[in-house]
Amino acid sequence: MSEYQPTNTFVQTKQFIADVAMIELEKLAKMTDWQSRYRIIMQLGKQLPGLVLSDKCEHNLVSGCESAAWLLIHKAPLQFAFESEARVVKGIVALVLASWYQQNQQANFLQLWQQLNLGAELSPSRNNGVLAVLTLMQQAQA
Amino acid sequence: MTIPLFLEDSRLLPSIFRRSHIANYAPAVSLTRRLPESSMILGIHHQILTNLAALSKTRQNPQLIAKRPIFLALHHFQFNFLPNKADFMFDVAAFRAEFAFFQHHPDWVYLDNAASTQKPAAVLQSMQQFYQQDYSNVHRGAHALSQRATSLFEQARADIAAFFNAASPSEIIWTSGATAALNQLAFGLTGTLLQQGDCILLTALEHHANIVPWQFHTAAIGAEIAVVPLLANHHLDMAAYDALLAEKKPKIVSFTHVSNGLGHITPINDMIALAKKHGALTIIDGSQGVSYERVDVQALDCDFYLCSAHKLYGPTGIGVLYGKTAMLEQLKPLHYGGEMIKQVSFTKTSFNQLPYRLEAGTPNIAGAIGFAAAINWYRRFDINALQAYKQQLLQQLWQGVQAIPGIELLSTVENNAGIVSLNLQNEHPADVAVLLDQQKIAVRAGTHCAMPLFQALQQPGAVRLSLAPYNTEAEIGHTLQALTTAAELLA
Repeated sequence: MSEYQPTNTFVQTKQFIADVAMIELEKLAKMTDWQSRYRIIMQLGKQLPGLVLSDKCEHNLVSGCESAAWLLIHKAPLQFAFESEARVVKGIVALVLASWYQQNQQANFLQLWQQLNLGAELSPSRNNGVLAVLTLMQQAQA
Repeated sequence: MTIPLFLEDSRLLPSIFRRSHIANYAPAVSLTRRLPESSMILGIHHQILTNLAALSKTRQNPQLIAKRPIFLALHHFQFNFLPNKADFMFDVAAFRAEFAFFQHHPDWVYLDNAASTQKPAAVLQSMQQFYQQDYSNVHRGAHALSQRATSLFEQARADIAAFFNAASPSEIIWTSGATAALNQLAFGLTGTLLQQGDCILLTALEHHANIVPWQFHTAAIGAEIAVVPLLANHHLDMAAYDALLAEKKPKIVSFTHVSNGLGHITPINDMIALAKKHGALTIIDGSQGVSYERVDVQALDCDFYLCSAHKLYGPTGIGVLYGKTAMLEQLKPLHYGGEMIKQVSFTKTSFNQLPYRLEAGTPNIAGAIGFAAAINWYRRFDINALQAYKQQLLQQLWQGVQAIPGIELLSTVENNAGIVSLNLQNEHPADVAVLLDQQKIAVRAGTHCAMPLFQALQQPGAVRLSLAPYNTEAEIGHTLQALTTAAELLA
């Protein structure tokens, strides 16, 4: 089989999670007001490296999102690249990914989301588009 | 434009009105209502100034001190003064008190009225009473209870017919809503009136429910769909409409009364008249239009008009399809079974007369009664006062959002039934909506089941703030603050 050849998108995403999202994840835990938490989520959503146009195709489109989202999955080793039209979705996925890397790339994505404790509005109980994405990521891991 | 206001502080005005001088102003309002909006503002203003001046002299009102003229810009004047028109034209507090929902959610601002309105006590009571005291199936029972339920149900139909000024109650067909009505029309007219090679004309403002059923049924027979485009201001291009009527000679023209995505009012009178000139059958989707203005189907002279109840304070799962008798008789039923049948054998079935022919199965009886209760409740209010009050909220919202950096308005304030659709520059509407939701402002974000509209506007969707007369000036102020916070968080 051919060697693992990470594409730019996967490398950039992993790098961003390590350099930026992990730091923001720690900051987030200390925030008490919703404005500060959302500012972090929205800024992460803005900064998370996007996909190239050709990857934003029907094949990678995540169904079940209010706003369009695309997910790229690399199986071995498991890696992700992601883009959504909505910053809030990108931001939460970036935070969950940071948390996943912190926990040795094994934890359940949906549980990690729950543990972020983002409040009722951004929790799995509200289908805000994140659920569909994280469910696919969890399926790739299982 | 500046206006002299002989008051020390214009904010004193509401308290002045509340102190029972309503009668003094009512004549001024009715006098000016017929005038265009701008002159109405000035007219009322002039009249009130005169009255206030008289008041200050004759009653020695201590709060009213005509010291010196203060010149205020018109927009400032609207903010400080116009919202209080409600004090003498429309009592928002009393209207709002009819909705228990707001007592349960005092911290929410509900601006998703184009999706569905809240329900007044009159509607809830009518349905509860029906289920508790009058319940039975309709039309087929030999017992008196069924006859009672039937007469309530048919009274509801008569009430709706009166509301729309239909020629007869049998011209009112119960459906589960506007979508079901449009599906019945598309099914019932395609292959009969609409044949291969024929054209149906829609507009760029349409909801999916007025696009997809036509697409589905016309594809099967090879009929064409043509679309009236928009002008740069996102209103319908009437010249193009006229040209399309002449060029395509459509058999049917089907369009919305008010755009659900933008709030823009379509000139239905002109559009119906033009369609008639070209011999086209007319269908009007009144989902958003019925709460905007009184609809008189005979005056409009349209062939079909339809709406859902739940956008007009009624329950979900019920709506009506109005049709001229001759038109309804031509309509091929979409559903078969139940009361719509006259006689059945395994070789032949004959159908009941109108309206039952188009109402298969046990109808939504409680829904029909609830809808009639909604309409009877709604008719108690002066539609002009409701409209004027909603316009005043619209002005406040529309003017207020201009001050927020990066706002892109998709709706115009002119010819608008009470919706402001907007985006924040370079931001997805879902992000704006999530930040409004966090601040307990209920809005809808997305393409509002009108994807072709947003393709035409070249926007990913929009945040839609839709008003109802139970919304208040204070709520609009709060919403503007919340939008500003959202813009700051996204910057």
